[in-house]
Amino acid sequence: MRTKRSRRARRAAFRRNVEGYLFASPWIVGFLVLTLGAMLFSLFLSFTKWDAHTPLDEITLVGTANYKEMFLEDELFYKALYNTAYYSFFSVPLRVTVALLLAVLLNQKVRGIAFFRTIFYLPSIVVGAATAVVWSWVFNPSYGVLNLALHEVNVLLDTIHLGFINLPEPAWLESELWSKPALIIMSVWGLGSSMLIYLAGLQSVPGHLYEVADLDGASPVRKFWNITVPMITPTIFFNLVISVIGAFQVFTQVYVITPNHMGGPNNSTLVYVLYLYRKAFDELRMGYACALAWVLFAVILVFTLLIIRSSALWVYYEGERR
Amino acid sequence: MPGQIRAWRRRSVRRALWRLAVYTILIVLSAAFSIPFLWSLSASLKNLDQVFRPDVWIPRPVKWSNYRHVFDNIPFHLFFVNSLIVTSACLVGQLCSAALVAFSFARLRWFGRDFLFIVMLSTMMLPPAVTLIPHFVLFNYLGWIDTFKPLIVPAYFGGGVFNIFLLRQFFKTIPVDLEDAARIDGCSSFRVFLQIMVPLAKPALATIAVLSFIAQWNNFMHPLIYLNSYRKFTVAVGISMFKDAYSIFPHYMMAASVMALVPVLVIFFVAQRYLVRGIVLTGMKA
Amino acid sequence: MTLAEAVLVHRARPSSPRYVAGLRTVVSLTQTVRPCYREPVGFSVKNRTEPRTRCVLLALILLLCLTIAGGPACSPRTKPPERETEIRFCFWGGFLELKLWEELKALYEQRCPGIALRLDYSPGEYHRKLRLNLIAGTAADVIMVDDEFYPNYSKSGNLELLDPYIERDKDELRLDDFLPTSLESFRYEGKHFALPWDGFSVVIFYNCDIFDAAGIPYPEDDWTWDDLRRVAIALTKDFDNDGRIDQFGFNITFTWRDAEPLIWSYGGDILTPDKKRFAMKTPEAVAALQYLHDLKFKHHTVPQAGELTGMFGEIQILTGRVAMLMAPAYMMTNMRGVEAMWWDIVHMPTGPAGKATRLSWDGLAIYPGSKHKEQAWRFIKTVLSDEGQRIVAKLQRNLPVRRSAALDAYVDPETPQKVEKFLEAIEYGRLTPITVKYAEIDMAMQLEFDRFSLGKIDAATLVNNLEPRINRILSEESS
Repeated sequence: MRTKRSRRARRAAFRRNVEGYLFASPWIVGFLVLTLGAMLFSLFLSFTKWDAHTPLDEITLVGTANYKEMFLEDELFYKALYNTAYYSFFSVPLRVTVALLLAVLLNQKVRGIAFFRTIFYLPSIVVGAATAVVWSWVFNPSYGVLNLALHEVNVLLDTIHLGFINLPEPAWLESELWSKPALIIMSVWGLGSSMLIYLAGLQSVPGHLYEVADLDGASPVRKFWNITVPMITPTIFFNLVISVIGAFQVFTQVYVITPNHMGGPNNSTLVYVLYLYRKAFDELRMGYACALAWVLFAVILVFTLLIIRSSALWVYYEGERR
Repeated sequence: MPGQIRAWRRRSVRRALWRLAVYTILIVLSAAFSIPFLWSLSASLKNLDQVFRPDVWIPRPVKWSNYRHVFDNIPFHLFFVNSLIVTSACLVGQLCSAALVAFSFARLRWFGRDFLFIVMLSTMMLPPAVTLIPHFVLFNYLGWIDTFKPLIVPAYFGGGVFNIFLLRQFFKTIPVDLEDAARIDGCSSFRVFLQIMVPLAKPALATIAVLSFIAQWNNFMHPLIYLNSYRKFTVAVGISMFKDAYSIFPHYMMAASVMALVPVLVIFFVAQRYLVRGIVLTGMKA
Repeated sequence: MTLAEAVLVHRARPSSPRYVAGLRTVVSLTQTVRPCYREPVGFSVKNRTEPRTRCVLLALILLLCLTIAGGPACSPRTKPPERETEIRFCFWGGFLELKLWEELKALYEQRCPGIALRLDYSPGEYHRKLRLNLIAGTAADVIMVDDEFYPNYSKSGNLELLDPYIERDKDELRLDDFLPTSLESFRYEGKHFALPWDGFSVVIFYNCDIFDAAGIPYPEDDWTWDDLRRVAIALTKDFDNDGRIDQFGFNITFTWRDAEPLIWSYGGDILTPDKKRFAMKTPEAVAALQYLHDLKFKHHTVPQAGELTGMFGEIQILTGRVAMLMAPAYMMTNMRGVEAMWWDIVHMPTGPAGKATRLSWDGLAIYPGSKHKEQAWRFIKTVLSDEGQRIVAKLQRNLPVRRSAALDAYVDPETPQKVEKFLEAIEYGRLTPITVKYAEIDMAMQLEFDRFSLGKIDAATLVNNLEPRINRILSEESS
């Protein structure tokens, strides 16, 4: 009797496994063919010295020399790491929270909400090459919209005798101190995709929960904190992980907006992936660039694992088996 | 009776105030958010000498001919069609395969599932610049260079980790009871997937459709690297033809990018249908 | 949450009047055990999807089939008829360059029937794409190279040695007709791996209207750097007295490439002639750099960081923000497109050691793995022929490498500006010292020049900081 049951149980388990793998097979196949080989190759490259010109069979293995140079001799490596950490530290929380607030705002049943949603989504869909042109105008120190607005506020403060409060009108992208805040502002404008994801998440919050709360006389803020936020923690988790991964790998916006793809004034906008790109394609040091990539990989992995670990505490999946 | 009328009046006043507040915030914020787009629009109608006059908002003269000149200078209609083909094909592939894989990670139990999930997430953590060389060599070996295949085929194999992850989160929020009931009645996993999961995750699917459309539409690097014949270029690559090492033609570039926004906006509007079940925070019924 | 609630939540709209009725119905329906969901309560795909959605889905699937069945774009380039050979040419540029190469392609195919030329155009990321193709072994037959990365490509054997071809067709090429320094810029270790086809010089552009308004005579060709400083100071104005300068006298970017003409005309040099050591630590070079520094920080005639952001060179002149600008010849094309302002060019000022300017050339090379080297060589010859060079000159972007074509077709007597000065500037122009380490040197220079540009260090400190770094890069074993 026992063997029969356990055989049946094993058969059922085997069928379950096959089913799982079958459904996941598109990704597994793609991973094995495309991604795994490429990742391992770049890991191998990180132990070599290669300028992407000499043929592949003449690569010289240098062991951990790349890593040693990175940690011990390269001051720009630490600068790039600092720049990226600074950027992520501000842009991730902003992105996760502001997008949520915007999504809640845009989820109201007012007429024309679709129009407003489109407006908020627009900045994140401008094609890359045009982005640089647009943003360099916005951040123009003399005539840019941002500084003009600040100027007006300053004038206003003067007229109401609060002139001692002087808002700065910085040179944004050309100033060492303000170039990273400029990038952070750009990233907030581009949170259309996060907002959209939150919107989708908000659709799946059961409406009757709000009705019950209404009957109990809850205020909108209470409803937001005690119903909306807990119910969309899966979406928050998603946005958090994606934002962290994206912020550490920020590249395109910085690449198009810094002239000559350099690092900005005194390398203040030299983010990690930009530095990697320069090493790989300008200085022709592919091996070193791969080493940089894998160090970044390790950093992001650590942060993501921390978030995933902590998710058991704060993420509530409605559909989980109890 | 009078008490009820008074209560009703209080409620409608509150309702009106709420609406006013919402509209005000919306208008102020959208003014701020739409500034980059408005400037692109105005730049697309300017003369070359006014293009970088940041203090000039309304171009004088208004050069509608810039839009015509875009077509004179580059085969923009070709690029448009190419982009449509590539993006639609990718869209279908990503939706289908991401949904299948996400279902597997969210609902099915199999050996190594959680480990593979972490592996899947970690593929996003390596900057794409370093995997470019092996990919290029592989596609060259397959003879796919200068075709659309390197752009389309990967979308059918997993459809992007971002999409899988998003759908997994959504599938996990669908109550287990539905699936339990269906399985008790003898449904196979595939029917559960097709008839319960997919319909209920429509908002997520709509979101993925929009995001993936836009990502493919604006994708500059891959079409640039894999396509050689310029008649096969997509819109994103075509727009950068107005900028080269020597100079830039911002007015043509802006005109082209404004035109390129149109399909994106269309898709966005169509997807709104699935995102309109708004939750009214104050509990007021419309 | 019970099944009933779940069903309701996801089916009925929260504020629908069917709420309660639906609840009752579904609860009663799901109490009974039903066989497999053949016709469940609205759960079938057919019932749940509206006709519109189904049409959209169908359309998408059809589109997909269409694509995969293969429009012409899904297969590689349609093969030319078997009797024709096909060679490929990869290049960079904007849409204007594309038009240029279409013309040259037509010329070539007319001269060499039976050969088809395919243009592999790359509007951006040219070097990245080229390197990928070189690694994969699929580079084009004719490759466009710029002088900056030429030594790297030559050294690693990615370009075919052209000396035998040049020797053989010496008479056809007439190398003495090439403008000075052009051939030199594509010589690596004494050998040619590419031939120049066009290039540019750097001169001073100025806005005539500003000069007229201030009553200052236009600069003469034999002026000096002191004259420039005097004129720049006179033309730097703050019209509305708001503390912000509205019109700058002169603009130049603080990069080592732009500082080269100054340093050379003062008698200094960047690297020693054998390109092995740093040579800027001389009083002449420091004087030149200090001149620049004073222009910006002492006399405020050069805009500081952020004062003219986002404005390309031509816009600065055309909008009257800047009176004089040191810029390359190709800026002319954009400026010609605008009828607004009156502008002209003048030669570089004379320094203590004479006049100097920076020259740069672009070249054409052949891929060693090409199977049609002879045809590729013929294409290069077509571009370098009189007719080809005349087509290049007509575009009026860069100077053609042939003096005869430049004199005939580039210098257009119709234009009011004295375009021939670009050509004349070649006579006193010099090449940037480019080595295999160009990228690293550029980056090291940029680091220090950035600080110099922000006014944090002066000229003497700049060269002191640069010397050990540049010498170290130059003496390192090349990878």
